[in-house]
Amino acid sequence: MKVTKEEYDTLIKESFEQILEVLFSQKNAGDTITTLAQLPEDEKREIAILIQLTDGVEGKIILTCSLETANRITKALSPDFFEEVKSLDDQRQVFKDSLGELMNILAGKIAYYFQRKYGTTRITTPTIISGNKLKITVYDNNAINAVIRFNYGIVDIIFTVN
Amino acid sequence: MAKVLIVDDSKLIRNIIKDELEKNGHQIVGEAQDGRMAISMYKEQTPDLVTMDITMDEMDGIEAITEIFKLNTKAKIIVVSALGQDEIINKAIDMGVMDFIIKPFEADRLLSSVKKAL
Amino acid sequence: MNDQVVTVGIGEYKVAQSPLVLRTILGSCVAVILYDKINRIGGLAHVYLPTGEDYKSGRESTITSHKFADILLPLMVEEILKKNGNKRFFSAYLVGGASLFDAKPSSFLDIGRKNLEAVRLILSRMRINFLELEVGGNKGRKVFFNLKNGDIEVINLNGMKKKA
Repeated sequence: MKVTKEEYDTLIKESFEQILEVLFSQKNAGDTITTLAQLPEDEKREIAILIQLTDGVEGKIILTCSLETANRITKALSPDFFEEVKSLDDQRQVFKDSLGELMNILAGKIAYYFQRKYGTTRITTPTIISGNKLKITVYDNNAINAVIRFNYGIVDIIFTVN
Repeated sequence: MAKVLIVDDSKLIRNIIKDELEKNGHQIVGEAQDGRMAISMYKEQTPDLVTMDITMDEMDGIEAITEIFKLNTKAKIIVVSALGQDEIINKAIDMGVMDFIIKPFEADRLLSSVKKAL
Repeated sequence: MNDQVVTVGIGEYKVAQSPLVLRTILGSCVAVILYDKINRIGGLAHVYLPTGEDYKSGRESTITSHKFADILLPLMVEEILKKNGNKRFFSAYLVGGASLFDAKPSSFLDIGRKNLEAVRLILSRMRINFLELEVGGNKGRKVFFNLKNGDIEVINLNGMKKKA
């Protein structure tokens, strides 16, 4: 694994702070973010956004959250879109747009963090996965995750390296 | 007052850029979701300025920038991207872009960059 | 936006390029989705039985070999690579493997679990990292896989799909 859990938690938390302050216009965002040891048992995984990293660092980052959290984040970022949404398919596209951009920014920060050690990393556009009971199990040992609780809910950011 | 073409696959980002620029008196002449669309819109609209994302499907920003410079060596392009790695920034600047804004960005950062470019 | 939807049947795999949506319905079967995001090519394999080894008898085999994970998956990967897919850019996902009958674990009837084990082993041997999206349980699923961007939708077949 190219980063320790502690380093990773810090990287994700600080990235989120910046994203909340700038993208969500939230002052003192740091005060509203906590890192949890793991995803609470009763927290559902219904939406996942995945971005692949290649070249410098080879792997994937995956954000998972409940439908409720996805709704809240998206409404906060793009209140106008929601008025246009008619079908579930439309809704997924809106999630993909907002959460996808959030992930895009996060991936950029992860790529930046690793550039000195591993060179320049390419990132893909986001992919959205939806289901009632996603588990997102990474079937190897090279995976860590950071669970962030903030005012829109809880998100789990999994980082897996090839 | 400038005619601006916004290129980004995220509607969220396009809206953020559009709102800020329109508030400051600029005219958005087009919004493209990928590099290919960007090139055809550039030809159609001949904007004064282009804001360009890098990570996009179909054709990425770097390729689109290359093609736009072929159409107009004096094209004014500002990159707005989540990728802030040195190599990528250097490459874009070497290609001739006017500025490289890293997401997430404050409105002021965008506006001063646009002002300087024009 | 209505893309063409193609169904992948039991024991089949389909490899396709953007734009297309592949769909399948799973019970104890396991869907293996492979996607090269950069070249936008991928496939969905509907694995019906674990490995051919379990089913060999002394006689000539009349079982359609395609149903077995260890035949189906390498074939699908080979075809993706032939069509210029790149292993470096692969994302692989598993869905399914439910236990639909009242099968005791390790019972011959617990095909769902055996399918999962077989698929995991084969993908690991092929050095393909994968994510398990929704596996096990005791309900069927319908899966949609969009070749345009790699998006996946898993719908549980029992009960209503959740509305926002």
